[in-house]
Amino acid sequence: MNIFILMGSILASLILGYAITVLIVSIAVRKSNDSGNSTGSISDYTKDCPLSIIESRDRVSLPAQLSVLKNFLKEK
Amino acid sequence: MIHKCTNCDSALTYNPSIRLMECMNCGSFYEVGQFSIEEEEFEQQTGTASYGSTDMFQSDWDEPVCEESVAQEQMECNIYSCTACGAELAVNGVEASTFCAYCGQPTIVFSRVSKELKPKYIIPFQFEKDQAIGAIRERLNKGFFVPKAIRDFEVERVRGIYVPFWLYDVYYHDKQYLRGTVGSGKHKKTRYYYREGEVSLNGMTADASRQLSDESSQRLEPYDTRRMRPFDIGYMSGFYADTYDVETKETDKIIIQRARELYDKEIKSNIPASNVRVLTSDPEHRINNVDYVMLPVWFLTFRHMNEPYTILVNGQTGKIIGAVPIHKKKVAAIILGAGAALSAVLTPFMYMLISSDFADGGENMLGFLFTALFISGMLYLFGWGNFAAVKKSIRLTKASTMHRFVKNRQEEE
Repeated sequence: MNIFILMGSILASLILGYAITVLIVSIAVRKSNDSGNSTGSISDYTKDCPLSIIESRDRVSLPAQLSVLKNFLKEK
Repeated sequence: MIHKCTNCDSALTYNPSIRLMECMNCGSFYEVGQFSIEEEEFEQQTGTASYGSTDMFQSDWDEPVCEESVAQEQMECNIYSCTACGAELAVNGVEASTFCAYCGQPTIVFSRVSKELKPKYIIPFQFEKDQAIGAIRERLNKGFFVPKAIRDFEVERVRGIYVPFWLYDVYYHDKQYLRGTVGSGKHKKTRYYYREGEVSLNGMTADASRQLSDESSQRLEPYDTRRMRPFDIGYMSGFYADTYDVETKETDKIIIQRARELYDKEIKSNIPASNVRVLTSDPEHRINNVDYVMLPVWFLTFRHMNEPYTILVNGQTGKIIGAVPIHKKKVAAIILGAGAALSAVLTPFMYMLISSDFADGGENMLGFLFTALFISGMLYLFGWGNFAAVKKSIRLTKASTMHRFVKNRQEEE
């Protein structure tokens, strides 16, 4: 039985160990070989006048919710 | 049109470090705009020398759109073309390159003298050639997985090119219903939100050249458009310029789509929930102004394994764009070595975990195995995702991709 447990442990360790290594190396490769992935953000274009929220509701009534969902499904 | 030294009649070159035109033959210096009557007239009329003031944005704001407001003045340029990829470059006051900055082929030939649309504004090069080379070299030297042959690239193939862009001022307004989740576990709830907002996006850039892919040009951003100057041919002395070949009617849609993406992202960040999704949207947008501008880019072309690659550097900020080939042997060796070492470290823990579960009757064994496989699968997926992203970036950097891009776009026409 012990040999099976040992073999299973080695197999599981190999799968997990290589998965972690692949992830770490891939991040390192990206940092090492690739640069300038970011593009402009909204703050680059709104230096003097940021986005203004005209109306904000964090609670939407049930009828409004149903109507929104109906329209959403219709669009789909 | 070339500005020449009044002392020795040699062609002048714009020097970004001192912001003056310089005669490389006799060492004389000249102010940019000294030869230009247009800029004097502009300054007399408006009382401003810079695009950067807020007033200028505001005054443009109410003007009707677009193509009518684009300056229709023209300027004379010497056009050189690449017989390999079809790229065209305007050359002013500098000897013609023997290499194409886009595809790296030694196939640049004089094509014609042409009248080109005169840009309204320009961001002069602030990052010098040596600084650009230094920044790239430093970046590549830091790269642990960059092959040595690439670190020692040939410096002769660095070209400063003014790339044409359309500069947009856009108004965007939207009424949205959004859905998000709050809480976690058993307390997880779906919430609905409503937001109406508006934003003025000033100085959004759209690439006006077919030579450069939209993806590459977007990665060059941001440019600080407050540092723009009224266009003067003097800024182009010693540099190359790409010629504009994309109309605003093609870029309008791209800009509106980008405005929408930026607006949605900002609105979602305003919602106190996770997994926020826009359910309904009622957008209104208006393009308030479009200007034709020239923005500075350094192009560095080098060869690796007989394949050309082009790295771009934002000529104003020094931002480097591009990916270089990976040292595959190094990557494979590290994955094999570190993977084996990590597995060896994990094995005793796994053995203890599995044997203790067996001692308890092995009830959790199946769950344990599935969890381990799921976690490993996710890690592999993220890892390969990163490798795929680098591969895609390398494909963009490959000058042959630009070559194909130009060819394909020409065939579309």
